[in-house]
Amino acid sequence: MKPARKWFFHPILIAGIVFAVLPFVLPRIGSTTSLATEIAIYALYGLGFNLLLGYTGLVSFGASAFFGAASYAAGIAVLDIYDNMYFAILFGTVTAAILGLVIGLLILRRRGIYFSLLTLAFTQLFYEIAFKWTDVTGGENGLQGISRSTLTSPLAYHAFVVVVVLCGMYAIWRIAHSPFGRLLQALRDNEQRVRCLGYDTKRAKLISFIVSATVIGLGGSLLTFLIQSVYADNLNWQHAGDPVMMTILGGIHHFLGPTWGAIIFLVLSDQLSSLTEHWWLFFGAILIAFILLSPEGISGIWNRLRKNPHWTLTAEDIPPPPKDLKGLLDLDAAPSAVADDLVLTVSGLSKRFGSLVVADKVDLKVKARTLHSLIGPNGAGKTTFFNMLTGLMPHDGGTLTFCGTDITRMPAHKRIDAGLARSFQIVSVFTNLTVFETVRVAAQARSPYRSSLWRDAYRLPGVCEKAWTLLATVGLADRAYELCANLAHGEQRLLEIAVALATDPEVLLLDEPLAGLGDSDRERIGTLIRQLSRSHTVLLIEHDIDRVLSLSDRITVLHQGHVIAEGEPSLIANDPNVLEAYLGRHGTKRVQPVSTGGAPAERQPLLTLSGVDAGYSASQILHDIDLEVREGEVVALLGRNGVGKTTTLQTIMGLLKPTKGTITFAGHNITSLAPDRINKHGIAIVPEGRRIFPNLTVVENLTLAQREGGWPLEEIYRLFPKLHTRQDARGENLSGGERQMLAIGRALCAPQRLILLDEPFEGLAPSVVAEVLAAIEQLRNTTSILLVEHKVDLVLDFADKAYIMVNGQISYAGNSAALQNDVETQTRLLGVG
Amino acid sequence: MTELIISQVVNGLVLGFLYVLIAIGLSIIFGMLGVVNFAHGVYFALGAYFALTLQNNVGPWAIVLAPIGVGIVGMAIEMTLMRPLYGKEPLLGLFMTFGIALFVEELIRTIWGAAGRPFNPPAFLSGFIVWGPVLVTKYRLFVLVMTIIILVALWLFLHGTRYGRIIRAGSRDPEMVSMLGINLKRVFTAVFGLGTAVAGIAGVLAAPLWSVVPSMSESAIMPAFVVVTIGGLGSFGGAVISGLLVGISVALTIQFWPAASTAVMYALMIVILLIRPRGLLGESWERFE
Repeated sequence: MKPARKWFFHPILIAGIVFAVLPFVLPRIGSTTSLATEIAIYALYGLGFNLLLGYTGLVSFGASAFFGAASYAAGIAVLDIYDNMYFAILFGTVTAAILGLVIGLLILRRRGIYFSLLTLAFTQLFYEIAFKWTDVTGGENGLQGISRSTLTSPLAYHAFVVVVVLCGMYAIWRIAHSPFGRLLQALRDNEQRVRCLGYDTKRAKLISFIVSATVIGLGGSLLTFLIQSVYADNLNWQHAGDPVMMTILGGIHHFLGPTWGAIIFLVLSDQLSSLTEHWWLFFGAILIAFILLSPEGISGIWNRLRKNPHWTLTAEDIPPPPKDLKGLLDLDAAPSAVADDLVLTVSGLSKRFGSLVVADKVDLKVKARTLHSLIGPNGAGKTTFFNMLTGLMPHDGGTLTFCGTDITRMPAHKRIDAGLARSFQIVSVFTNLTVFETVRVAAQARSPYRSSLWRDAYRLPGVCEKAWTLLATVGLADRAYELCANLAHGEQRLLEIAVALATDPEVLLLDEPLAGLGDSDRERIGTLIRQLSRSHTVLLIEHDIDRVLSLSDRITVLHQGHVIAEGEPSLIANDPNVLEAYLGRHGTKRVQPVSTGGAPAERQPLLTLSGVDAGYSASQILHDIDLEVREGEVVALLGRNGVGKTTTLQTIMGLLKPTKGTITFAGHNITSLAPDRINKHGIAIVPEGRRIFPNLTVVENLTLAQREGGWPLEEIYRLFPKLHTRQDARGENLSGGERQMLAIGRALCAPQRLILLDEPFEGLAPSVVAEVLAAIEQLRNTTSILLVEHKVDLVLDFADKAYIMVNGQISYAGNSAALQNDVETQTRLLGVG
Repeated sequence: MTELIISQVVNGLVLGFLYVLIAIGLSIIFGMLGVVNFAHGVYFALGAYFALTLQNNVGPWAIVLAPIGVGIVGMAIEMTLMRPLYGKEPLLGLFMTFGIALFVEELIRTIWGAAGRPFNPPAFLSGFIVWGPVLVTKYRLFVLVMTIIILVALWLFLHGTRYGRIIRAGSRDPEMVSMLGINLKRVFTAVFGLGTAVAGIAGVLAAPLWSVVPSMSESAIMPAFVVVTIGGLGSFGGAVISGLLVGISVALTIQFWPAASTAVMYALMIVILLIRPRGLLGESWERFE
């Protein structure tokens, strides 16, 4: 866009023109000048509300409390304190700001739905006070006798209001583009991620709440002098809905959305109310239609016509990349050299959840400029360890020393300031921001102007350049204009790393940066991590053991909260303890042959997956899966963590729709059926994490699932006598083993021909493992089983067939007896080395 | 003085149990669909208006048919207006119920008029009962007994039947419920029907106590929000305790400080929520925090 054009399309200018024209247009359709003034006031009201909803992501029903309170304050000021309109408007606005501070402090500690309900309660409380406290507020009659000493003509007051409103809108426009406003928009998408960049999100939300209250209060004060009286009605909960309605009609995610909404809302209600007294009927219908058909309101329709699906909360353009764009790796500008060779020392770190020990006196020493990896089977406590390092989770004992400073009690955002940065296991970028903006917000965390409400965030010295440099480092510079939501999974992983780098960390904590990626992406990101470890210290959690072994300088192995080995990759690969942790009692020969009900080839195929691709929105997890379970067979689906085993089961069960390929079961195509239909065809699941209903008793959990043809309760109790004795206990009070038994029992309650078991032995004590195992052995006589497990030894003993998955693909399919004796394949695809 | 307090406490109990009834429906719908139903008050009002109209045609059967009618309306609304929004931005569901509330309230005003309509209790329930110093109208006592019966029945339904178990399980993990062969869509519709029908019952019962006016939906929805929040989202016991607490506080304030009679419940809610973030008996509920 050329500068002149850009200037012409500036939203403030557009709003100004509209407000200026309105008093001349409205009288022609039977309305008044004062309606135009009211529109301008409501536009500001809506914008103030939308600062919370659209920009910060807080759903408040308390906007009318500030609007009404400021109206009263302005009215009371002019009647009782000092008869001057300008003073009164200022007084009303300041009152709203103070109220915003007080209420914000009280209720911002509450989240989600509780926050919204509290705002509603405050609105109602204020309304009741205003309505009943007649001495001060005039009660039902309101405050009367307020007059404008200056600007007495409607047009003069309109001009004054428009100027003030435009100033208010301009202030919000500036804030939206300031470092603070940009931060709010990131916080809206992902609060935890923002906190992990070193921002104080509580403070940011409070300031946003106060600014919103102030702007709304300004609107309320202006209204007092427009209608020259004050009524309690404005505080009522239905009026709390006014800004909500305007914003939906106009568009939540557009700067001028509330302005268009105010025009539609007020003009339409004025016109309709002259036609019929039941104009709310039309209004309700219009609102419902918008929510169903155009959730982005009028602005959404306009954008669709322009074929531009973007939000317009801020100006769209991004500062251009510097001419000679280089990545960090080309710059060889290493961060400050650390005097001490040891960057991070963890000693005696402990943490338990009830009886579950997730960290037991963990010691770790990380040297500067090394790639140190942390590996271990599922549930070893690796991510918990990162959470404790970064301060997201409190620990029970032990000390953390970082670059010579004790950080044991340091809050999360200070640790990031100190130089610890992390990426997340689950991709957690800001879905609705551009790639550039995501990295820029992260880079901004280091700027001295990061809390400014007024500066242009795109002109902060060095920040944009740094963002570009980081994007170039990870190879995303040409995707800078894209929304994060539209990135491929591999690109999102790269972006995660760029974001972590943006805080100039001394140590980079990367949590499974390769999870869910294809081979080429793994290669690309693996190489990048290796290169980064020359200028940064990298602590890496990753399940792709082959890459960990080839990339790392040093490896620490965690198992059930203990460090079981530490050393160079070659040592770790051959450490018997490590092998055992990954494979169980490794390499033992099959004790007894599998009892098979007839030669496998004669059995009928029951479940067949052919060429199935599936995944979550941006990331494809499964690639071309072929898998077959025959009548009466026990099939093991093996693989290291994060290779797509659970995703495979979820796809079979109908929780994920395959993007390609077909799934047939007992002759029926079940590819895109809903989970309940699939269950009725005869597939039951014992899901990962058991997912029993915590608020139901054991019996209730079972009978809930019961259908004609399933196992009767007595038989389930015969299989698991423990469930019988615990039958009246609530699900949340069961031990892990009991939960597992209950989950298996629940799967048996309806008729089934195939049971999907997802990691049934996970987190169980050895004695319980034996019990569950014995039960599963019994099941094989009545049903087919598809079993996901990473403890190979447990499974191969009684499975007929085994599949091994690597990175979302089936890498091995064959007889389990053959696999059991094929130690080389086991080690290559499942173990370390 | 004591007599006065006792009478007001009885009045408070009646009010409280009505609040509980409205709040339970709200709570069941919230638990399953994850939507705070702003339109819940209009189903309450519809119950009263349906009874008013049906009374002329079917006589006392109106009391049974009106809530069923409300439930059917509720299910129709769920299927046409709420269902398209599942799985989308949760805010849209909230705004939708807001739109429905505005629309239906105005519809009531259009059909039945804005003025209050008298609704007399059946003849055998008019008059007073005197217990020593305490004086209660027969109808209030009837409402008290009815609401208790309905609450017990509802509790038995939720805890003793398969459908009840599905509803309670679904409030924690709807996806798992569907993997047990239960059609979620139908459950959602049924839950919405049940919740709105219970609001309809409350509306029928309240009709002779409060005048039947379009704005009665507002005088139901706000206390219901307050009761659910104080009791803890999704807790049956919590809703009962907090409903009675709110009812009695309101009744006593009416007696001693009439001006603050409505404000008192909001103040109570703010204080309790600041002390106990999840209300009195609210459990940690990952889906909604």
